[in-house]
Amino acid sequence: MSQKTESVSPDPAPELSNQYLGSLVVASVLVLALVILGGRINPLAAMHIEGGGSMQLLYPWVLAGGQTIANGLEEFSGTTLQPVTDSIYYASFCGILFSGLVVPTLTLLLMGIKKPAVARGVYLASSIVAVTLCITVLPTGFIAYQVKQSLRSAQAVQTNRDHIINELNKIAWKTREYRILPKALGGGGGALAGYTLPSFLTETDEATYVLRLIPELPNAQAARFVATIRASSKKFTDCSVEVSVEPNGKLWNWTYTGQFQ
Amino acid sequence: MIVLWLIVGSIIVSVAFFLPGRSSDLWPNINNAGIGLLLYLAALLGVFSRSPHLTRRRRIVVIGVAVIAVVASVFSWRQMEDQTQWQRHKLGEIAAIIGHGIYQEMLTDSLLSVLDDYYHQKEKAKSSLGQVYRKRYPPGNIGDPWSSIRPMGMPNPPDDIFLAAISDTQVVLVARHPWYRGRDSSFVTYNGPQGTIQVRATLTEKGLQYVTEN
Repeated sequence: MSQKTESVSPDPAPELSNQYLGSLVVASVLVLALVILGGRINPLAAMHIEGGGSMQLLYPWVLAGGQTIANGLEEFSGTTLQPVTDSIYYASFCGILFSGLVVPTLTLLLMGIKKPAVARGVYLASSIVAVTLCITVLPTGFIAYQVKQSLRSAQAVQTNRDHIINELNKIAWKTREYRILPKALGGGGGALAGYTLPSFLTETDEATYVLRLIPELPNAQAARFVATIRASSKKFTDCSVEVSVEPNGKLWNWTYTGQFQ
Repeated sequence: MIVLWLIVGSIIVSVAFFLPGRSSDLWPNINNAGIGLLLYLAALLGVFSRSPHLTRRRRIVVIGVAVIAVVASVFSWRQMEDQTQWQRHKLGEIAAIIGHGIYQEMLTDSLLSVLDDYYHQKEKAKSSLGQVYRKRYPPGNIGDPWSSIRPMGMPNPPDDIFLAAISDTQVVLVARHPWYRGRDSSFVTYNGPQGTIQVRATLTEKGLQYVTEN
């Protein structure tokens, strides 16, 4: 009869014993406290963690990411950047200690060894947190990757659209300038007839532009629009913008197609 | 034994975390701590792999799950840093696009109005370009910000657009933003902070030249 070597350390505590129930209670209280109270049970409670919660405790990099976005917004509004606040600074430190050090150490080093009720409860709690972390970190990372790709794609469309709007405004003031300048100086002498887009505005890195003049009849009531411009994006071929140009260079009737809508 | 591991690990992570000092950015601190943590976890798994309390199969499964979790955490961590830095950078780019759009509209509109007035003067004695500008935007002293123009008509005239030069034949306006970053961070702006966006519009009798300088 061969001796079985797989089972090394059978746990002597039978199920539903006082010891087992005690450890279960300790584990439940610890896990519930973590999930429900989150950052509030953190020793940093006194420092009012901004957005603190169990997520920040499990994933401290979320805090660093939030800080980076906050810095970007501060720069956007012209505020001088200040050092990270106490709450964020120490919350991220505690998060790293908790999820990266305490939980794995307790889980791995207590696994399989005979323990008293309290240690058993601590082990159960740390195991649950460790399992939660393991289960959630993979889909979270994948979802974050998907969101990143989608955000970048959407932002690329928006940036192209913004550049095209700026270039359309440039064309608009060029048409106004042409109308103002006398014919002797290469202008239209009060009309847009004869104006063609300069080569640097016909095609740019962002789009190609086509200007269509609307004939201005002499002695007729002033026309509302003197031209239309169509911009076809070079980066997103299904996207375009069409606008009407007033005599004073103002743009109206913005029509977007494709992903620009 | 466990307490010793926790103490040693805490010292490693603490030193790594606090070493870069405190700035407006958290990434140097938590990245440093993360590297310390990886070394610590590698040592911990090394010790765990020789644990006499568990079967070999159980140890392999636990180590496998732990390695996957660590790799996934590093991936998630790096994703977050990359994405948030990108978003921060994008916010700066969007700010620059907005700033350029506003300046283009304000400078070209105001100077083309001057050009329009210049070519549509009804008086017999024609005014020069500089005089027309001063008539429309008094007092028209060099270096004046727009906020000093009396009948501007704007509720909040900007103080970051300046009259840089004025003569009978040309008017030069320079606009520079107090904080929106331009392409070149070392660019010296007109009477303002270094590296922010700046544009220059020059009006002559032949028309308007509009240049993005930063």
